[in-house]
Amino acid sequence: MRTDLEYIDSLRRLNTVIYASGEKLDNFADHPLIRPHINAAAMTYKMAHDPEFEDLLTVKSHLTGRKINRFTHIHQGPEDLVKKVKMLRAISQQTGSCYQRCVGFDGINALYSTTYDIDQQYGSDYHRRMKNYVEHLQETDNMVVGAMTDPKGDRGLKPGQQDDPDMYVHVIEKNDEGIVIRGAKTHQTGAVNSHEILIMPTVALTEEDKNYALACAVPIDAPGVLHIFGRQVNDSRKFDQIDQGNACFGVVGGEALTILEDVFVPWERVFMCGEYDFAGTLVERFACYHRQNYGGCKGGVSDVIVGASTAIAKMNGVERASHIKDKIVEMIHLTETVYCCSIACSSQGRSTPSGAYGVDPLLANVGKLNITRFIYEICRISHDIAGGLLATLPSEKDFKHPEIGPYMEKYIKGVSGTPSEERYRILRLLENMTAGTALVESMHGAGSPQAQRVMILRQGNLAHKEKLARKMAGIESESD
Amino acid sequence: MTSLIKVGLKFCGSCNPHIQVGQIYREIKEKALRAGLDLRFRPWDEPGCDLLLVISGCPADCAERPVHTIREVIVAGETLNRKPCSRERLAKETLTSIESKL
Repeated sequence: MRTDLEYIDSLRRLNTVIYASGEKLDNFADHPLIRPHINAAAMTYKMAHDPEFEDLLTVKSHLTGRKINRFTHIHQGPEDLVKKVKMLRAISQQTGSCYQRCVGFDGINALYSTTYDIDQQYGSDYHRRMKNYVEHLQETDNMVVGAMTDPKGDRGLKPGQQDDPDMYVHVIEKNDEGIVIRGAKTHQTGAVNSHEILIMPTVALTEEDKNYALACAVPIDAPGVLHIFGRQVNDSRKFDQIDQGNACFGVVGGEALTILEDVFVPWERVFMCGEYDFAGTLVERFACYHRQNYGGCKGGVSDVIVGASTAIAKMNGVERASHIKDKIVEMIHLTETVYCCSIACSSQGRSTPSGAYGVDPLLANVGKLNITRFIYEICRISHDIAGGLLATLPSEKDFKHPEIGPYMEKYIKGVSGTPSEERYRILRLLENMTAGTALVESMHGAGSPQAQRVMILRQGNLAHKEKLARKMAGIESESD
Repeated sequence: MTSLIKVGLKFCGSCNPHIQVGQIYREIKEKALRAGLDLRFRPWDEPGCDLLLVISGCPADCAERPVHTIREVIVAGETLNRKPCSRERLAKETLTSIESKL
């Protein structure tokens, strides 16, 4: 298993092409816009070597019997799924932000079971390739970005109906060696600091769109791959220190628009190519794994927000007020509710024909839908407790200014005994974690709310519920 | 001074801990030193341990470990060997439990 420092060093050896704010980055591993996200991802390597956390961060490979980082594991039972959620919460408590590695983790798990099913139907060779690929990841401990979301163009049209065929990633050439693909993947979390990209289709497909039924893996720095780093709210703060709020780990995951311009993929790394009838299955399995995560990672992030809210209440001298206590209770209630959903969908996990385990899809989707509301509510309450200073604080440069700094020291003060800078830092942390980009990520990460609603309706077993009611109302008998 | 005792150490992973497991471990180590007890804490899966000390952050005690292979002392939240034990007494009582099992 790699250490955190080995991971960061390994990024320096890549030739990843990254543009940010109109510039090509020469040394992205040390660039202020990118480095916080690298530090967050590095935590997934560091904690695997820490005895205090290794029970969650490591596991024995079912392929080799060797101890591996859990982010490269294929779930072998409900216990693995539960440990995944606990691991995510534990890491979030250390970073307070997204560490990005779950997307690739979910991608390999979704593809592992789906390639098995494809082979059963078509006699193809995808599952063997996938197993080899997973073994390669376990051996190298590489970080993989799970690339699902296509630009989509006109959402009312299917992939093949678009004016521009590149709105969805597709195969433009096949030969004896492999395939050539073209298109793009949007808001790719952790792409710039990953080693590899795992490409998957983004929607269920029909036969006319079978060129878009494509799953494959390519190195992050393969010829034809380039990344355009996304802006975040307040991202110029990354060039400051205290004003960043979470200077070491940043906010959310650091997303990029990843361009795939005629990228060659050898057959050994192709895991779906034309089997359109399995695209929907793959998307659904990936989405359920990814929605499972949110009660874990956002649970851990919320733990930090609850902690920061408690701290600022004390610094403001209001921690004993009953309405403040009530608000803190509400935040804990919401945090543990989202965690419950993730634990529940994991403990109710089920086997697939491949032997790998998947989550309960209904509970996973309910959990993610809660996230789209509850994180906003947790953040809203934190703003309520913190007060308006959260949005009106002057700059850290003013705080450290020889002439006006003393005014800041005097007037940013809360209760006696608490240095003004501590209050300033907690407010900045809360601002960073609760405003702007982090909220939108809760809404749309792992799919927008409507995607969860569609799944909930499909999984809701309405016929059974209606039958219960009809029987109770005396309309139907036991034998009906 | 007792002879060298190898204690396998296992933590749960601390997803939502009621106690700070690292802090408890350090307190136990410090108290053992002061009591002249020569405990050598080793990775839980290292062969030849005389005893396994599991420190879990909460009573769920979900840390994976070998079942019934060697003697165990289990700290899980504010419990010791499944019985309630206050945070203040946890390190001291754990050390007593370790001594009693040797």
